[in-house]
Amino acid sequence: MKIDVIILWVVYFLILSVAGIMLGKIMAHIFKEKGVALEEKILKLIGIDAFTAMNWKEYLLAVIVFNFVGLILLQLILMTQHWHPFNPEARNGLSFWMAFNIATSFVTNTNWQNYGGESTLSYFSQMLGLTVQNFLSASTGMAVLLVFIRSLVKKEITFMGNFWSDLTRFTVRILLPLSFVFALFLISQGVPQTLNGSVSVKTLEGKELKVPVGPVASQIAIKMNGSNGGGFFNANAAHPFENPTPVSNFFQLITILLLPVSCVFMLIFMLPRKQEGYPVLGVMTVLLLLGVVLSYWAQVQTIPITHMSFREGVDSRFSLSECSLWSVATTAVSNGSVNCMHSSLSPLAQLVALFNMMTGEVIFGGVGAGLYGMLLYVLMTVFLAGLMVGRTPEYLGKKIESKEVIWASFALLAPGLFNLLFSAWALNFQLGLASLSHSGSHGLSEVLYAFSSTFGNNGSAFAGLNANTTFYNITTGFAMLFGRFAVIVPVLIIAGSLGPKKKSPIGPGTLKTDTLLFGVLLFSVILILGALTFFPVLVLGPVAEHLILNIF
Amino acid sequence: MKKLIYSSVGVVFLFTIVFGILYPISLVYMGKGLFKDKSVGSFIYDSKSGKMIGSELIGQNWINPRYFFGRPSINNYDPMNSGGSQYAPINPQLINEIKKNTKKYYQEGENIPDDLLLSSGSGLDPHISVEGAIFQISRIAKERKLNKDRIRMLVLSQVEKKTFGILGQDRINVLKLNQKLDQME
Repeated sequence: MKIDVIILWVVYFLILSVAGIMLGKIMAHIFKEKGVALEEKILKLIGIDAFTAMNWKEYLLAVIVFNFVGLILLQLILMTQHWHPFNPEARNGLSFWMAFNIATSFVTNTNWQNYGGESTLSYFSQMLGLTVQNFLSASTGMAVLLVFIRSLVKKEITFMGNFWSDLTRFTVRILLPLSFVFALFLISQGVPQTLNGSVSVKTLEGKELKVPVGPVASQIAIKMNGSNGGGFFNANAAHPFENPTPVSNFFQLITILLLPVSCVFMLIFMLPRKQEGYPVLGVMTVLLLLGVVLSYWAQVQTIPITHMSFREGVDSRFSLSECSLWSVATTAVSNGSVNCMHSSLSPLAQLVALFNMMTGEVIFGGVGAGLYGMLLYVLMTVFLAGLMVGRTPEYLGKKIESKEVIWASFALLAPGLFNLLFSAWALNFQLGLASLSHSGSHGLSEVLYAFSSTFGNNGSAFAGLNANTTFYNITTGFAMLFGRFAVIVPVLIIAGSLGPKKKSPIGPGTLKTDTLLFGVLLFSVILILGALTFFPVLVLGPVAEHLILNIF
Repeated sequence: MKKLIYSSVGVVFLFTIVFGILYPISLVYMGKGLFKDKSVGSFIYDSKSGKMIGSELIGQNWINPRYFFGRPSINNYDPMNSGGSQYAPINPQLINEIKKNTKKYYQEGENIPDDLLLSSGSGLDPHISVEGAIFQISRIAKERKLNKDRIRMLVLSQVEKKTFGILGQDRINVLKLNQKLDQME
């Protein structure tokens, strides 16, 4: 292994840890802050109550209505593009199902793209539609996480915070300044930020060329920070206007993981006993690092058929290690941006990407969303461990009873089950098969990747699959909504049930949840659950591809 | 419920103004003030005519043998249609594509560098590897009737090194190199 790769990894994870700890501390402070903040006063001016704490039902209702309003607005914006200003290329309005797919995609923080941005969308849609939802979907995930944490940490609590307050504080104090600074940095690297229409040039060979530009930097900044991943251009972060230099690449790599890592540190700072958070942090880190090493190893092999490197789909300014690191980070976190084409990755690197998404995006995961997913696994582990020793399972002093376990199992299993059902449906249905660009095992991977990505709210793709068909627009649209809300609803129900419970004191019979043993248990539960659900289909997809490749 | 819908609409509306208009537009003006050329797309101008000849960041489909060629692109460097081939490593089309690209260089010798045969992820890769440029020197020298060593000097002067020794790859910007090549004559 080359020394520069090791240095890259060490520097990368060091910066990430330090920044994550600092930001986590700031976030814990922001949400603890009592009294009325400026944001809440502004909301009050337009008649919105951001002071009164809500119970879980009111909170859930607010989340759903708010997201629904955002969905409708985005759908309307996309369908009526031709009426709007900021449309120098005169883009037309989109069809209903295409707009539905994009709207669900951005509202659910998935940012799956069935369109090529440079040839489909107006600047108005990119700015007032997509950029806004990039902010709000990330904040929604954060708000849900906060309720879950409060229900676990505080004793006998029924009213768990105000959605508008949580949403606004996070958006205005964390996302906005981070994205603003980052956008300026990106412009300094060469990412365009302009309202001019595309530029016509005459090349040295005398050909006419039309180069699309636009307000790119502002969108890329929040795309990376908010674990969104929806690019301005079709090629996403492989596009030289989205990711012009190795330096912009490195900092975008950091921002993929920055807020998800900060969320875990925020949890640690919010816990009465910090060490309770270490198993969660540890398991996420180990899963991430295993993926990074395996993917890198696979990506630097030589292709036995052509005796060439895995450079297909990788731009010259990026190294193979940066490509594999990005592919692991972007699938572990539900970011979904790509700096090289995942369809052309080595089969085992494809496997890592698929597995990361199939865990339900809990290896740091999306902003907020990753950690509440992981906490569901924690509840599951506590329950299983409780069964083994025959005691009532407790986590952080709160009793885990049948209601919590039922909803946690639903949230952990249902998206996976539907993912397999949908993939099977698409593979047995002419409309599903017509979109494939590969036959055999890679064709299976294409479909599986599409549904894993949408059910996991990731958004990356094996872009060989033509996803802009009515069949895929409807099925993946449903997948994104289900993958998002089939987890958010159970999480808030569980929070509503855990919150009012007493905190039992730690006794000799308490299952310790701050130990290495518990970490190992948690790790095993994630692996076993993932493996039981997906092992057969992974063998038919990327594993088979790996074996075929090595016959030669 | 009425109150809830009002609040949702209000917050979405407020945030649309802040994040949909104020945020990007203020960045447009700050970008213009601080990084004028970069914020509009890093375009390059011809030193004589002063006309735009392309963007430093967007690769072009070079077909004249007097110029250095870029990497293969599945969409022939159409900037309005970015993206890669998406070929899986086991896809037979990938092998056909490589064979097709090999033909382009058949007169120039064996051991063609990988990046001249494999297409990029963006389809708009503005760079080639240093080996990829050095490999093409003899063709350029023949076509332009120039001394090989002079071209080699030019190529080596155009190398963009790995940043801090660990980020990215050594590479050469094809448009800038070709522009310099024209200026040499």
